[in-house]
Amino acid sequence: MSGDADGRSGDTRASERTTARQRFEAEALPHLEAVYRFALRLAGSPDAAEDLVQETYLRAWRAWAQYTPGTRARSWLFTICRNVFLRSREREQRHERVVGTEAPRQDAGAGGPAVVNPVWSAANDTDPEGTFFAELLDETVLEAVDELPEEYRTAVILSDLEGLGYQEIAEVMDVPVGTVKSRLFRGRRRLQKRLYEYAVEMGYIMPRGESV
Amino acid sequence: MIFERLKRALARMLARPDEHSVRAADTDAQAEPLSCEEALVRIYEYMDGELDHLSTAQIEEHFRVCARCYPHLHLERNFRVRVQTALGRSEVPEDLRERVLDILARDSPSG
Repeated sequence: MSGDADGRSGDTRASERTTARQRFEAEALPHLEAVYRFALRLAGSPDAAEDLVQETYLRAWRAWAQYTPGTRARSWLFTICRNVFLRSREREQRHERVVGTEAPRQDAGAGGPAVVNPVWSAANDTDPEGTFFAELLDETVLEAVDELPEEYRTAVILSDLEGLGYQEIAEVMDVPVGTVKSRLFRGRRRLQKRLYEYAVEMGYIMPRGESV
Repeated sequence: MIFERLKRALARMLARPDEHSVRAADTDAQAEPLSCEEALVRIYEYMDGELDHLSTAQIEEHFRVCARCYPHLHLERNFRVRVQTALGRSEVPEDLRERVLDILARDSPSG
């Protein structure tokens, strides 16, 4: 960027920057906690999450000129946060299981996940309404969430914690809506299964087939 | 925002059968009763509030009349609430805002 080629003084540019910064803070900072909670589940530790959040906001600020005001800053920040995380993960060459952008299954048969939830079947005799979920500790639930492959975990968090609709999640994850539906379905089923297993381990529910 | 959506979804799920029957939705739902499979495969879409009016009515009707499926709607609700609560209770560091502001302040434009 050259000096005064556009005729504006350094003072003018500085004050424009200040105004832009104020607008950025007004629009982006309210979502700080939501971005942190999302980052925490992506990055796995509070320290890593803080780094990720700082990097996210820095990049968001630098890309502020490309953001259209009033168009869902929260989703925009989630998108940046996730992309920063994925790039850093690639760089560190960690190999999580990749789920991919599988096509949605309209018919539940033909090798797709069972239509009837196996956890329903397993809990049906002793606890058909799943009261055992309430017995689990927060840290157990979070552990199970963090065990999910990132594609499932992100979809579940954006839906269950942040209340994003399918279209919005599709935009954040850059996949078709059908893929979001599939990831939510499979992710929730897998999470439920894991929580059921923890509940059996802890004795909150008797495993199917065993008498009291 | 998430609690508003949860409240709406819970209100739909827990609405008494009597309230259902006086609404126009009931006519829609009775026109094409769903099988258990058909209802179950879209249960998350229903809970997420992503279905159109007709599909929502059809699924609600199925869970209203099907003794086998009805308890499982409660299971799904209990699961969802547990996950949401756990996710929402993560503490955010008190000085995070300050640190973010600091990083932004130090990001001066390069020449």
